[in-house]
Amino acid sequence: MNTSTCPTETAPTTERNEIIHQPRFTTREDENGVTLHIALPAVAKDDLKLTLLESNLRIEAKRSDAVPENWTTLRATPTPERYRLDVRLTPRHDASQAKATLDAGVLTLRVPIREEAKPRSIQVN
Amino acid sequence: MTKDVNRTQPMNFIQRYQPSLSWLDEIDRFFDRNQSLAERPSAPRESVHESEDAWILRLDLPGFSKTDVALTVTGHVLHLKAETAEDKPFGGTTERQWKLGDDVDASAISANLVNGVLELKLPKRAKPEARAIDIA
Repeated sequence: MNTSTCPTETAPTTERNEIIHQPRFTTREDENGVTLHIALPAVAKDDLKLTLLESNLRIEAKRSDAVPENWTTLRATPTPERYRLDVRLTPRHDASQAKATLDAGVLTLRVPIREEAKPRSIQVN
Repeated sequence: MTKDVNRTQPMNFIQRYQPSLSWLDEIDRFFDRNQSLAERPSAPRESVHESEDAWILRLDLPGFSKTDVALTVTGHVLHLKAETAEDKPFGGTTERQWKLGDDVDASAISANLVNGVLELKLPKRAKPEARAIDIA
């Protein structure tokens, strides 16, 4: 089983005056597919969008913890308004069978390997 | 990449309580990227806000549930320990301590954890009203 972690975020990009960050994520691959865990704190299910275009899976999310107007921010580490992550899947993966859950600010995405791409044993006669 | 620049900034009502961190440690961390606070995944994004009746502290804790978080107040120190299994996504241990000022009503601090964001509300203590003293 292979596991990798992206411990830091890439430099943010700015679009329409909004700060967009690549979220922290981990990937884990086993013989049946790949599992991605993506940290999306303050994101509600309705503010999450998954788009599949050919082999590219785009994850876009918007934080829903805006600071009320009558609050004063005394200090804050830079907080993105939006997250975006692009994942390229290999032809072995069946994105049409992907399953996603969002819990406690973590999106879990499971993409199975196509049945025909799974290793199979060949019987020797 | 986030940069935790607030460690050295004193605050009137609330400040980080880091009894084991000397200024030499801070310099070491600044020059050693592997040790820098900004690179540590256990340093969650944090913000402090003020409303009319309270201070509000928000911390990103993705992957942590209510039962993973322990909050205690000892004297004037608020202590947070969030702990999940290392093999859970974004798991591990995060600890924070803040020194509370006299203006904070420590007995009425409340906390909510929603969508991986912990929000602590630290109510302001009511200011004593001035009263006239009669001269006998």
